[in-house]
Amino acid sequence: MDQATRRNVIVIVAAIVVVFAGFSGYLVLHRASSTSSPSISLQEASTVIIHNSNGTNTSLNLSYSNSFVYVPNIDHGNLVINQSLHRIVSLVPSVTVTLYGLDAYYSTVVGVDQYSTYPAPPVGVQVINIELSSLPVEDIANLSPDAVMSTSGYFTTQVINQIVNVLDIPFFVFNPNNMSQIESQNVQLGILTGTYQNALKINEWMNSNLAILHDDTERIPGKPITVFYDLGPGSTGLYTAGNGTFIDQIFSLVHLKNVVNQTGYPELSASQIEDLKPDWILLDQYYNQSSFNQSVPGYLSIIHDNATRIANDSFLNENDFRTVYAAFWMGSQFYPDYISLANVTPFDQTTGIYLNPPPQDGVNGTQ
Amino acid sequence: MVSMELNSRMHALSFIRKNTGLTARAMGSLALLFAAIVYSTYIGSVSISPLAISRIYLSQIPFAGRYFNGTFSVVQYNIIVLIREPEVLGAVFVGAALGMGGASVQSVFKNPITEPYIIGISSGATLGAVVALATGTDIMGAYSVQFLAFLSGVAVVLLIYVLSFRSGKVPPIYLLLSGIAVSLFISAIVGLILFSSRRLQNEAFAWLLGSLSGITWGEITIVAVIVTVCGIILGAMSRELDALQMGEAHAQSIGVPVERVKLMALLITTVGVAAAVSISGLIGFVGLIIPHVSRMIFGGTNRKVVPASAVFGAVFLLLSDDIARTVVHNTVLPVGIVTGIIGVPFFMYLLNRISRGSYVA
Amino acid sequence: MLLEARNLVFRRGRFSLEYISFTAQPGTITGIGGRNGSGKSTLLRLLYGFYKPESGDVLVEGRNIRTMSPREISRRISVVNQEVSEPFNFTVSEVVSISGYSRENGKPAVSDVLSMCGIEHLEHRPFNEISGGERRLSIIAAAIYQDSGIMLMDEPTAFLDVDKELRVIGIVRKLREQGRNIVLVLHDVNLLYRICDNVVLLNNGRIVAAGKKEDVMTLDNLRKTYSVEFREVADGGPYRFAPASISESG
Repeated sequence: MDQATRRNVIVIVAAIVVVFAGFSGYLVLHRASSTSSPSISLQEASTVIIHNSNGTNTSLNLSYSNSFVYVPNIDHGNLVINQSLHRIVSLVPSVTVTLYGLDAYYSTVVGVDQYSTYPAPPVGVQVINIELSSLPVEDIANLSPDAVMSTSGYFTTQVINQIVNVLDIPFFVFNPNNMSQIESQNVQLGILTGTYQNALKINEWMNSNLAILHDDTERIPGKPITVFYDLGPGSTGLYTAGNGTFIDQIFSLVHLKNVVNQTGYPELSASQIEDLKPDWILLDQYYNQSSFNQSVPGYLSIIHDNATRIANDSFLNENDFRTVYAAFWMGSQFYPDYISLANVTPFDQTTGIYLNPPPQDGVNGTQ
Repeated sequence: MVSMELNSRMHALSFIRKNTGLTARAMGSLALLFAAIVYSTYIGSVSISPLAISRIYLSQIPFAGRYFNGTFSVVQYNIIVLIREPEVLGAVFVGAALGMGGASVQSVFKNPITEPYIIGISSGATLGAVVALATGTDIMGAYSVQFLAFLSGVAVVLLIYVLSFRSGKVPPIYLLLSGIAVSLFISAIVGLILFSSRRLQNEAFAWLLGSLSGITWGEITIVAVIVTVCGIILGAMSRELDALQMGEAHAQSIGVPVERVKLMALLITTVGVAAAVSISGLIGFVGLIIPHVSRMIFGGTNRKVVPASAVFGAVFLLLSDDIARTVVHNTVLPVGIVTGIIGVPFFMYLLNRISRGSYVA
Repeated sequence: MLLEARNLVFRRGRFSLEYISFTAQPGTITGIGGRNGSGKSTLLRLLYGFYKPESGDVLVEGRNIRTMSPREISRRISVVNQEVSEPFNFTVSEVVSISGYSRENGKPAVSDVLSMCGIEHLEHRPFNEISGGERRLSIIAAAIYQDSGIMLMDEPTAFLDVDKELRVIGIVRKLREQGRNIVLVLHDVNLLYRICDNVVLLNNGRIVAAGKKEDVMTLDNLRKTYSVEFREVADGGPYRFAPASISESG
């Protein structure tokens, strides 16, 4: 074969292969999309439409709890649910706890993440190990859930895309950030799982206890105690929770004042913290002395005795009805004469929902 | 002890070359690839019987497939077709791109310890990915990160190429040095962006370590076409790449338009590798070691090394990904960690071998 | 094929070649001589277009190589460089066949050129494992395989054992008999005189003399070229010139 012929042959073969690759790619894509719709965009919706058994529709606005849902493309922008969800994979403890509180856990939850330890997953509920950015999508697919629920910031778009657009499973993102949003979350999950009446009872319990807390706090004389919340070392100082954060709201519920004026989660140096002159330092449950000695030398000198450690982080980090216990606990640490966990009305007696173990278990750190 | 074992294994590679026919070696390699694909589809946290998998395969055959429906569950079909197959094909095409890219870049630089990342693809793509993550740029919907990573990878390579121009030529040594310099500069910028956001560190972490999970049909279709086309062009350039290995003066004297070939080879390599990296993140060592394995089994001509590197790159990444998915129960490791752990001892061995001046046992 | 250099000028830093002109005829061997750094190898690289001259032209059969693609040039001119990079894992026969990149016909075969150079037994040996002399012979074989009318060789006998040197000289003479136009860069004065028909002497980038070796290689020109006094050796066999400071009796 001479040069020119050889080159022509190469060009022809190349052209054939390119056409073939394009065609098979198209076929594959086409076949895949006939069963599902692998698309390149994630659709968010804040409204879920629920077809009730009596023929009426309920429209659920997730934005009341600062939440939304990624809707599979196949559903054209609206998530429509027949009556209620039956197979839920909950990948965040607050949703798991809420479903348990609603008495919907045993009838709807088929899988939870490894951090959802309340209640302890029974046989038949699969524990799914989620990592920073990946999760075993296969295990989720294998459970054939009708919804996956989590909060924002855990999973990459790629992973969410796989669940939503490849597997056609709606992905709920719950982000309640204050007490009334938590109550909205209760109602929404109640409607989604057919336990709306229970949601109302939980909210009633929450409201009555928040009122008790308010009355107790009113009786406290003098200015609020100022606190600095130590979230652990960053690169130049200590992270803390600023204004508008959930824990900041709990502080104000129990007559405490956050010394930090910034919003969000700022990082403060030792001298900045000293300048703010907090009465108390609130330490994280997993606070580690050696790690921040390196990042904020001098910090120890102002801790002295005025530091207290949060007994159980879960109650503060998981935004669900158990936050009520967290608020009472916090108040009892600083104002034991006015606020006591014993003042919380028993959950089961008020709501008629009997949880075992009871929801307040572990808030003191004592098991 | 370890090096002795490795040594005997490498002797085995040379042994294969000396004692089997070319056709047998080629068929053997393809059979290995096929076996690795089938095996990788079988591996997963949900166990599905080989019988069901083969039925699912049959059902996917265009037009004839409908006769095989119904003997497996929808969940099984979804797991195999929607989750495992794109990931397996991802490993095949990413591995192939890195393998071929390694063969091409090593020939252009006449340097056995280079890999495609050295010309800035990796740092460029990282910059694109991190910027996309940081700014939430929306160009291609859910694939903004991949798209920006690809564009930025190609752009940085072109920048380095332009910076290396010296009186009408691009000497490989300048290319190498400016590649390193620009890469360090960009890494600093990436570090700065990551420093500013904790949230970003998590997202970027997965990308920097390289991962094949989460690849979808939409992505792999595009990447497969790009990698295939780039592979064909690189394969067609095998004689030019061979000539470059003999030195640029020699290559020019036998009629190879050296500068044009270099630009073409680097550009095609960059496009192919950047496309692959955009969906997988940075997977190291494939481009470095696979061309050498190919040369040990098929000899040095790129006519054989380029296709062989594609096949072996695919096999290596498939098996690495299988390890990544199974080695720790319930957890998928980033595949880049696995290739790194396997790759480094091999690399040390290779260095030792090359310092003695030869491949052959 | 006729090769002409016309007023070639090439400058890089302090180094320069100034107005180099000479002609190399088919069926002859032209030697380029001079001290280290006089510009011999640079001139050679200008002749096949690897370096571009600032001004002046190289003509092959009257056609300017500026107008030719590398492929067209390589069909007319093949080159034996003093050194080649070490390829990763090529056999000798692969190294030779790479040089067939631009060839238009199927002759000669790899085995023919290898046996012409007396290295047919190395055909399947790894190029990186054979000795330096064997590599030189392989590269010469590759240049012959390229099948061009003009062959440029940069110090083809440097660092070779005596037997290999003689073999290279034999090959070069055989190529001349085939009617090829051979241009050699040689720093060895006696070798220049022994092998070449025509000689170009360079000093500091300028031509000292060019033409028939009998006319060019005078004691006066050699002194200008090498900055050393030479004297003629009577009955020296291959040695015709010796530095004047070394006496005949030692």
